[in-house]
Amino acid sequence: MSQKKIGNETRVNRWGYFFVLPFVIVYFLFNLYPTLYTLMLAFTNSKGFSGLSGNYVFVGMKNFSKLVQDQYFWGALSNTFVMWGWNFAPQLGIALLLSIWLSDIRLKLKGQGFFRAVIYMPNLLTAASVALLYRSLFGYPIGPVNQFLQSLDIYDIVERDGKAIREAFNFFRDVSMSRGIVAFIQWWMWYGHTVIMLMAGITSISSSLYESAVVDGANSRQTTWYITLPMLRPMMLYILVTNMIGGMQMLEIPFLLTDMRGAPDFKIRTTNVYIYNMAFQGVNDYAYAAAISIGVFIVTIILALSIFFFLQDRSELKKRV
Amino acid sequence: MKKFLIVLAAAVVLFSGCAKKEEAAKAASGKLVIWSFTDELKTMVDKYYVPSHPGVTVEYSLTPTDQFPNKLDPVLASGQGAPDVFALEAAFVRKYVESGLLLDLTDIANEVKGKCLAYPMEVGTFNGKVYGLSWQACPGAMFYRRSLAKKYLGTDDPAAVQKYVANLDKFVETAGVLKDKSKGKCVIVSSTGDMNNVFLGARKNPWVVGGKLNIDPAMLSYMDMSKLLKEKGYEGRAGQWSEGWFAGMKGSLKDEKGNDVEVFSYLLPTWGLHYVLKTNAPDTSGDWAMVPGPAPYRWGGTWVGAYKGTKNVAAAKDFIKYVTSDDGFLEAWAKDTGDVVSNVNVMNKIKDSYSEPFLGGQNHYAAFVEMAKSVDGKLTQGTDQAVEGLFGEAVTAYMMGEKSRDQAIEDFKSQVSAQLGL
Repeated sequence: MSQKKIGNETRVNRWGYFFVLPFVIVYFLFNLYPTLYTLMLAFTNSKGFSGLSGNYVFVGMKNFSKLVQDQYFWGALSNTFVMWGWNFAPQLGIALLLSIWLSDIRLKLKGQGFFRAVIYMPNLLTAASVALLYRSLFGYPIGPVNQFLQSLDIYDIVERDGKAIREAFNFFRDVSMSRGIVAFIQWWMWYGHTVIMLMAGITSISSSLYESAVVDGANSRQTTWYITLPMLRPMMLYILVTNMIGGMQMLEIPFLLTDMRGAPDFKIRTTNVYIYNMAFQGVNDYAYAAAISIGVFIVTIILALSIFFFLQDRSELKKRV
Repeated sequence: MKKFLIVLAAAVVLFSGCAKKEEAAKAASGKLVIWSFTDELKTMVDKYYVPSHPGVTVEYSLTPTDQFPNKLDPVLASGQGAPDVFALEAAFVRKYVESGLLLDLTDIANEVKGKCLAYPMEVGTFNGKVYGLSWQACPGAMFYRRSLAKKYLGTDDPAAVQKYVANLDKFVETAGVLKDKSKGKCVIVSSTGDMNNVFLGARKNPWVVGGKLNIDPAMLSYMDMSKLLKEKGYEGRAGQWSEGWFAGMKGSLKDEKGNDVEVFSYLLPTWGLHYVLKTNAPDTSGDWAMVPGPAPYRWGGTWVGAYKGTKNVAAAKDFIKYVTSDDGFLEAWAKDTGDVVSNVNVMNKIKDSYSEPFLGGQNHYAAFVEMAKSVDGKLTQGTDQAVEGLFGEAVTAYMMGEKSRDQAIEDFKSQVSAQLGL
């Protein structure tokens, strides 16, 4: 009797393996193997034409010691952070506001579905088209933004030949403006996604909490501050981590917005743009590009772990103890 | 058994997307696989080569220029699926010539050296051996508007206008004259980028000498020239290949206050006449003329090379020799397309029979033939595109007043050292 039971169980378990097999194969081929190959490349001197066809030798930690001393790697990291930070803080703030308003039962906003669709739409655009769009928008000396500013009689003052001249703004030669534009584009493309995630989080909050708060006489500001935000904490943590990981890998917008190198003065060159410049342009230094990507990977892991460590909800853990 | 078949089916579905196996062996002599990024070579193959060489079958493949190196690199490096013959654009020709993966064409080159223009062969030469040849020459010229020349310089005759721009100093002087006489409306070029190729052509040494970065004095002059043109307002503030650049050709360029900006000239090479000016400014036909400009230079061009491991060496060499140096073919090609060819015999034979209506009847061909002789092809290197991209940032920073010239050069050297190891 017991043997038969064991026989049934074993067969059911084996089916599980078969179902998982396609995913595992795809993961190994397209995810794990390339990651390990990149890690291996970082320890070689793979470069140039046949760099990926086995024409390299192992050089130990040489690429990593170069990486740690490379001012442009740290510069690229700092550029990435600055642009991500300016994108994330407003993104979370505005997305919270919008998600709270859009899911507030008392407000009963009309056309919620319409707003949700419109807010989410920028996320559906390809980054390449968006980059070209914004490049045209902020064109110098003639472009829509410049024309608008000129209609308000706002000009840039530049010095030419010792004289001060009123000219259109050259947005993509100003470091803060270029970074701001990249941050704005990232915000514009992703805040809809954050709104949707937060709304999902809000709908999962039990309405009985709100009802009992209203019975106790809480107004909407108090319910938001004392119920909604604390209950949204796990969701916000998730958004922070995934947004950070995505932000660390920012490529298409900074790459295509200016000259594919991070102009002006390489100040919008993120780490991924740097990797692309190294690996697929110039002398095709695959080994150093691999080292940079391992460096980014390590930084991302450290950050993600720190975020979890510091922002985790300890109350659950304490209960168990 | 059933489960095994299911797993097998899943695996087959997965792997069916992968590439087919390579053909066991290519057909015996008589088949050539040719890759290019335009249909220029295809026209040559279909219209001229195959009819005159009936024993050869050609398999042609076209990939757009920006993806062409991505497609070519892996097959050349691994040898699997490599074409026999392929075209190489000026922007990346040196990368392949210097790679050691191209077939040695020195024997053909020595055969045709006498009748071929020097510089295309120089570009295709590395360490004394020839790996690439070209059927065309792309010397650069200065195309100016006849109406503006008449208005502000008093003459539109090419010989007279050339005196105004005979060298770089005169060029700047004339820029000043144009600006004064037009009360600020007329600029000599629409973009400082137009001067880039001129100064690159004026160098005495290439970018990399003895494995180290070398900044030729001509490039420092380019920085100074860009700054001067910007400061004095002698340029139209457009970027090359931008909307503003094309607008200047049509005469519809405006500044931010809505005033018209008249662009006096464009520095373009042979193909610039047909592919840029004629296509973008057809209404201004007849109002242009051409002069050699302040310095000889070259811009662009297409070379032809073969893969080192090609199985059809004889046919590949024969094709390249035909397409890049055959008198009969090149004469027909030049008459057909107006392309400036690199065969001196053909050039001398046909140069007097041209009259270009777009240029007001000027014989541009003869002018280009003269210019082609003074171009130096030995300055091009594989790392040029990367170095010049970084140098462009330094020039812009200095020109816009963001950095001092020394600071810009220091940063440039630092970037080149970090990214290219020079």
